[in-house]
Amino acid sequence: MTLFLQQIVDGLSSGALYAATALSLVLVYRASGFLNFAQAEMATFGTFVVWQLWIWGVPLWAAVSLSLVLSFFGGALMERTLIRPLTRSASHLTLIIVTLGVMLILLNGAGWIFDFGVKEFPSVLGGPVVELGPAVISRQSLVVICTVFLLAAALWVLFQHTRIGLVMRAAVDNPESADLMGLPTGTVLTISWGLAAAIGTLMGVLVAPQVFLAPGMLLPTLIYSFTAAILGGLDSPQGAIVGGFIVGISENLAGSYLPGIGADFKQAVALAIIMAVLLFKSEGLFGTKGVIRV
Amino acid sequence: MALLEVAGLHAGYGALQVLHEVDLTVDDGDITVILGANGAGKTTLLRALSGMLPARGSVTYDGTELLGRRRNPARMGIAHVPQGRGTFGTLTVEENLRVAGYHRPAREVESSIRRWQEFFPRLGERADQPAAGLSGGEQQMLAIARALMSAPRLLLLDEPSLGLAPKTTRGLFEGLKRINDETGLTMLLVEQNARLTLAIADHAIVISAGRTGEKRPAAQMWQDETIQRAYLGD
Ligand SMILES: Nc1ncnc2c1ncn2[C@@H]1O[C@H](COP(=O)(O)OP(=O)(O)OP(=O)(O)O)[C@@H](O)[C@H]1O
Ligand SMILES: [Mg+2]
Repeated sequence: MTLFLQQIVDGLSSGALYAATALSLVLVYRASGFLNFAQAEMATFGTFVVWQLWIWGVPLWAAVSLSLVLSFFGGALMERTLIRPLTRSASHLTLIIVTLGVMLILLNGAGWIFDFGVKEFPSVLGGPVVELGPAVISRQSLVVICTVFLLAAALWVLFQHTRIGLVMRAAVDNPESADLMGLPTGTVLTISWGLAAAIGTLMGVLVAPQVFLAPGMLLPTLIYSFTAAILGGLDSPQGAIVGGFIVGISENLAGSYLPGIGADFKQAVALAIIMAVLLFKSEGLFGTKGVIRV
Repeated sequence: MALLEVAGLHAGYGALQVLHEVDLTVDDGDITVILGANGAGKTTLLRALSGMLPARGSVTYDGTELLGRRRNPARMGIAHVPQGRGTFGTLTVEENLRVAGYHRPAREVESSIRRWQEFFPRLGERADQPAAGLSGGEQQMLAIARALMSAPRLLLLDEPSLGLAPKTTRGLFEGLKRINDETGLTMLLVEQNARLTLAIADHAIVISAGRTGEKRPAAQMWQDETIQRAYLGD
């Protein structure tokens, strides 16, 4: 029972990271219609920027704030200069390959600038583990989980209760009508990419103390985040959150309880979930019908 | 005075030329109807006017040439209700209206929403429902109300009667006529349904195979025998 509870708690911790990355993937998917394979590396790069500033003596909170702003503009710039000009002529497959290219550039760029060695990264909240009944959770993990819920709430407010959020939903629903009405559809695309990048950096900063900062540090988790996004329906922010936690928990439980899976083979769980969704419920748990095409 | 003046308009899809030499004028405050059969180029014409298709020729709106400009015609007071309505199905009815007022001051938007909800009471009753759940007639009302939310000077309507029962269409057209009477809003309506549109229109133009004919008073068009045979049935 203790092991079971501990696996659930661990699943929530890793699920929070998947959920947040899935949220970024979904924001971009809603705006542009494809999955951004560079998402994890963009987040890692943003985290490196924080690390560098921190090494230079900038207080952590200031370094994080600055990097979040830079990430927002970085993501926005990528949409404006690379993605949008290509969207007019290129297929989604081409665009996905472009994001793979960006991933490789950022991966090697980070290695070249900051070297490939593993770096220690400061925790936002240190201290002893917190006991939840028989299970334990680190303070940093609690911060990660709470941050994901706060992000989800903030995005909900943005989409449901702001003018620009309303335009974002309209542009996703019917881009042609939105254009015809003279709504700022281009601005909305740019904002989506910027937000996705900033969320990525925030999560990178929060998990870097545990996974240690290095180029490619989030790549092993990207498959789980993709799974979470697909399970949630690709175009649904709440789906991404729920999907992230489901994937995190099932991955941990399968690793401990399913014979033959173990820690090494856990990624198979993600692939099994993707296959099951695509075969039996292609719109995911919360998605719009007909949206999944990857 | 002409609010809209179209001269020598050519437009199409890639190599396919659909509009050859379209000439027409729409007078300020008028309801002008363009009658044409399926495939005559009605939708193509409206799309070219709103800048959704590349076009050659000249489109003068309120004294300004529209072709070749980057500015969205929607921002210049031209609202377009597309064929198939184009409402935002995942947004509520009221959100559909609100988003259309994006470029207007918030206070005007709220009073405008109330005004059009009073004008089309169904939209008030269903304010909080997703637009996807509306009936065809309600969708069309929403599409029109949404266009009106931008406080346009010129309303382009693409076959609003499509898929509606004659009784619903009649109600809708009476509504359009009432808006035109009360506010003087200029409307350009493309339709196949000549009987109902000629009843509310001031002027009418026939389009066939991408070419427009002469503009005539609607009442006179009503008498025309060829029109009667082509569009009014026997
Ligand atoms: N997106 C498109 N691509 C290529 N050809 C098109 C496209 N849309 C319309 N056409 C062609 O252009 C011609 C005119 O079409 P249009 O839609 O303007 O007709 P319409 O008068 O609106 O007809 P309807 O009453 O059926 O709506 C048709 O021959 C049609 O096949
Ligand atoms: Mg048409």
